[in-house]
Amino acid sequence: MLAGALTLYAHESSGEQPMLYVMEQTTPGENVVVPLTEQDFEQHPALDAVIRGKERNPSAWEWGDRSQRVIGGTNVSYAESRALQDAYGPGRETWVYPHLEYEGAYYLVVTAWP
Amino acid sequence: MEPDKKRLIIIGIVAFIGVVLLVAAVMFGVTTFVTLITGVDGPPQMLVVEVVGEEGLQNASVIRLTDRDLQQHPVLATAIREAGSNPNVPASTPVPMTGAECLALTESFGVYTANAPILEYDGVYYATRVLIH
Repeated sequence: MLAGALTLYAHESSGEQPMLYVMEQTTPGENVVVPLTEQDFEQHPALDAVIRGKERNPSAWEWGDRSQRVIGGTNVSYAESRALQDAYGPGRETWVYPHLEYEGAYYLVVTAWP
Repeated sequence: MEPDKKRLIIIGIVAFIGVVLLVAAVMFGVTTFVTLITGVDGPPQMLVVEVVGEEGLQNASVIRLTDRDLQQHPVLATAIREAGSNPNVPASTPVPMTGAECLALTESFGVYTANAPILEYDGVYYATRVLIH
């Protein structure tokens, strides 16, 4: 825990910030589906901004794997990045991402550390 | 007897703190080392962007980039800034990116696909390449 806190502190002091990307999927497949609630958006304003706020900037479906596209992205702190991964990232044992459902659309949360 | 007991307690506390700090330092070092070598999410990948003339467009698909696109994809912004900064050197140096950034760029702009589209920003056209080490 202490090592984790020290690592986080060292990264936060670097002056760089991780990016949060949210991908939309056409179907949830067989993955676990977690409905997003207002409480999720209150606890994670960056997620709110990307899915339904000013950081929403959907790309076309036609590039890469055509069953998914990027809905948007924004800078987050390292602590927020970790919190998002803990809440919506892949399961520790299965490494499978849960699909987040909001208003009939399915999303994945991906964070990139510089 | 009493002072010996106190001394033992103090030595025990100091030893405990020492062990905790040692373990933390080792884990911190290993985490940093692994992160430096592999990146957080996989082997290092590089994005290269090259300025192309209109004759190079042929039948390629063209995606027009907005300022917001570049804000949301800082790796692409860095590469485009670099490629456009010197007319004598039309290609950027390889810009490192994580697997997640590569995935986001591929799904958004097809950078890591066969027949990757040409990207246009501010009237200049750019071809992209992904290098994997």
